[in-house]
Amino acid sequence: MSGTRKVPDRPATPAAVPASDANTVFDSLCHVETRPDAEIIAAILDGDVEAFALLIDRHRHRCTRFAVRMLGNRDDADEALQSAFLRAYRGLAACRDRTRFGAWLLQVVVNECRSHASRRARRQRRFIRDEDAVRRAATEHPAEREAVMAEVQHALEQLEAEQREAFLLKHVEELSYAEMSELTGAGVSALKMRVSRACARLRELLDGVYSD
Amino acid sequence: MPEHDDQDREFIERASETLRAPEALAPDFMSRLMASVRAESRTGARSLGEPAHAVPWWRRRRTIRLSLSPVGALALAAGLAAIALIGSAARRALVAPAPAPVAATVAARTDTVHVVRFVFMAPGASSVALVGDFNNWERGATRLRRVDPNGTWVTTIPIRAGLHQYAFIVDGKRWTPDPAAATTVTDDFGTTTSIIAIGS
Repeated sequence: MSGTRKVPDRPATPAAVPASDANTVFDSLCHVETRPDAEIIAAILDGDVEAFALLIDRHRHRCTRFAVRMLGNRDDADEALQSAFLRAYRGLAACRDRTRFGAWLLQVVVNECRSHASRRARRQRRFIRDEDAVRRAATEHPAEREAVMAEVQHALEQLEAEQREAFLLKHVEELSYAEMSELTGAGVSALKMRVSRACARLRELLDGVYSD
Repeated sequence: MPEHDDQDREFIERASETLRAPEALAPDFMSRLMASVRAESRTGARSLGEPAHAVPWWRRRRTIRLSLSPVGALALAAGLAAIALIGSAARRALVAPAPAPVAATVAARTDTVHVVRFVFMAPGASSVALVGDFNNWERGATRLRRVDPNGTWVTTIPIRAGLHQYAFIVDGKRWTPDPAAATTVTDDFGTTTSIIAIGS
C-alpha cells in the first residue's frame, strides 16, 4: 500500500512536493467549507484559531468593497480591514447573533473605516486629486468600464462621509433602512435624508458620465 | 414627475452597479491577518471577548512598573547595549553605503499587537525588504511592495509593543537604515540600524 489514492483528472503533482503532501493539498482544495458561521465561530472560541481565516474569507469580499469605496484607495482599505478583522477576532464572543455574523462584521468594518478616515484627516494626510489625471484616465484607459469606475469613485469621494457611507450601504450593499439603522446607530429618517442628498449630489457630479 | 424619477432611478442603478464591482486586496492580505491573529491568540491571556472580571487574576493582563536605582538603571542600559552589539555583530556582513531618500513609518495602535505600516521611498530600486528583530533579520521574510511610479514601497506587519531595531535592504544587498527614524544606533563595525518605539 503506497498510501496514495488515484483521483481522476488530478493535476500533475509538482516534483518538489512529496506524494502524500500533494494528496493532502489536493484533498483540502476539494474540501468545501459548509459549516454555518455559528459553528465556525464556536470552533474559534474553542481555540481553533485557523478557522478564523475561513470565516473572514467568507465575508471579506463585501467588506473589502465597502472599505475601498469608503476610503478611496486600496492601501487605506488594507490597513482598515486588517485592524477591523483583528478587532472582530478579539470581540468574537460579543457577536450575540452568530447567524448574522456577516452584518456584525460589516458593522465593525464601518466603524473602523470611520476611525481610519478621521485619523487620516487629523494627520492632514491629503490625497490631492489631480483632476486632469482623472479625466485623462477616463479617456486614455483602454477599458471604458474602469474609466467610468474612476469617475464614479472620484464623485463618491466628493460626498460628505456620512452621505457616502449611507449611499454605499443602501445602494451598493443593498441593506434595508432598518438594517442600516441598526448598523450605524442613525435613525431611519436621517439615513433616508443622507441617501437622498448623496444621490442628488452624485447626479450633479456624474452628469454626462452615463450619457449613452 | 414620473419621467424624472425614472431617470434618477436608472442613474442611481447604473452608478451602484459600477460600484458593486468586486475589489481585491494584496495577495498576502490573509497571511498578514492570520499572523496578527496567531500572535494575538498567543499573547491574549483572556479568552476572546471574555469580560475582564471573568478572568482569574493570574491570567489578567497587567502593566508592570519597574523602578530602578541609578546604579540599576546603568546596569540595565549596559545589558541592553550588549544585546544590541551582539545582534549587530551577527549582521555585519550586510554593511553597505545607504543613500536612502525619504521614509516614514506609521503605527496604528492596537492593544497587544500593533499593525505598523512601513513606507520607504526608493525610486530606482527593484526590490525592498524589511529586516528587524521582529522577523529575526530574515531578508526574505518581509518584502515591501511598490505602490506608485514615484518609487513608494510599503508593507504593513504586526509587531509587538516595545523598542525594535530595523533597516531596509534595497535590491537584495544594500543595507539602509530608515532616514525618517527618530533614533538610530551604529555598532562598532559601522552598521546603522533604526529604532522604532511601538506602543509608547
